[in-house]
Amino acid sequence: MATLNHLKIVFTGTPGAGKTTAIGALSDTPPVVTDVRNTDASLGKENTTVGLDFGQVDLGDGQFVRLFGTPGQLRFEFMWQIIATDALGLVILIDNSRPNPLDDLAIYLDAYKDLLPTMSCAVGIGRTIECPLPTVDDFCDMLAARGLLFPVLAVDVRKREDVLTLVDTVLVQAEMRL
Amino acid sequence: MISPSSTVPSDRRELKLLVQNLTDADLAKAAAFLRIGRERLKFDWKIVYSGELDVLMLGSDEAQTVRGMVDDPVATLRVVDAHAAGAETSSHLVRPLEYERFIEMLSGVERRVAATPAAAPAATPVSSKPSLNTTPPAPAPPPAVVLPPAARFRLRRWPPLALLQGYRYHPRLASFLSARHLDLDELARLSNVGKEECQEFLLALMKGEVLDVELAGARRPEPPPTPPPVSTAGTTSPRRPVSSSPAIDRGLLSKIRLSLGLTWRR
Repeated sequence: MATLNHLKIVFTGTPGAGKTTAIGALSDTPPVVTDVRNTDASLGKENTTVGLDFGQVDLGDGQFVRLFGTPGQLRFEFMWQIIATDALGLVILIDNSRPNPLDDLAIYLDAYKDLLPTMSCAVGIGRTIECPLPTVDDFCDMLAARGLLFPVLAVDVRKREDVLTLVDTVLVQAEMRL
Repeated sequence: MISPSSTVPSDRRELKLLVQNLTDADLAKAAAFLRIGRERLKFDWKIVYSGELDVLMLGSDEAQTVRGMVDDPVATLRVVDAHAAGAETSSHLVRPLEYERFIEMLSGVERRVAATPAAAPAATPVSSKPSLNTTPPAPAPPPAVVLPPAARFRLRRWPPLALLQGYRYHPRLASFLSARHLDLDELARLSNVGKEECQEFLLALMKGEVLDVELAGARRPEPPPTPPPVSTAGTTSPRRPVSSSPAIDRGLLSKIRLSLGLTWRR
């Protein structure tokens, strides 16, 4: 159960979607990252996360919201649901410049399908300016086809305001479930 | 001075932005923003200096008499310095002008204009002669969408991007509406967004056919939070929904927002 002293928001999604960056944008302390030099050429980036990213937001009085980033690669799927269980919310980040972004989202929706019915969740689509297709509305259609209704927003995780907007939509859902 | 915008002929309705006492820099920016933002705007905007107008954009506190102005503008936007009194109010644009804010405000005007039935054409004089015009009368315009009184609303699906781009708080409002049915007052109170803006957004969602409308008298009780299904992963035990935790309440969520700098004002 999520309790006062163990609040967490989990960032998950494809490699390179910006989970580490998003956590860094919100965390009060420099995020703890577990990046290593990437050896998977298909990811197209120098470093990639192999453990958890971690940051936190200090609420005062010894309370914190902990921010976790899951490793994005599919081989770490076994960790995804474990990390997200009991979270206050889940943010799924998708990199629209990857070959099949809709398929990518489907992987995460499947991986979290046990949690999603009761979880506050938002989907952030990155690099929509460089790669406008599929459109954000295509992702919404996909969610609707699965009977899911979550915020889907185009984001640039380098902008703190974009990350905040995503998190705010998660908090709103949590509030409405009280 | 920048000459009034020349516009490429289009099928889109034209709105006029009458500028007054703007600095050259403000005017140049406004003109550039209109060019860049054309795709995001639904109407063609034209900068004018006199005559009829839809929006008055002022670089000073008081509007001067506008030659040829007949009706009041739909909105008046004041451009002020950041430290000026009232710089935070919704009708003010702060220098240096910012693209997003400028386009947001014009989008808001567009929604208001779109939600208002088009002005009736001037009455034609009654003729004693029978009309020779055999053209069938034009079909009546579709009735304006209005919010049913005391109705409650909930999203059927997440709205298309076009309905969310107008204001930065639209995703927030949509999030509230994604969770359960809310009436206009509840939406405004919970979201801390002005009732007028909430109403405009609801109207846009209704027109976009993504809103489930529950009429007064036909209200169904909201279903209780869905219990989570038993995990099939084997690594997790059945859990209660986060919402059931007594440790999380609105005060705590407010605290999180405050710590993150997520503050909203009407």
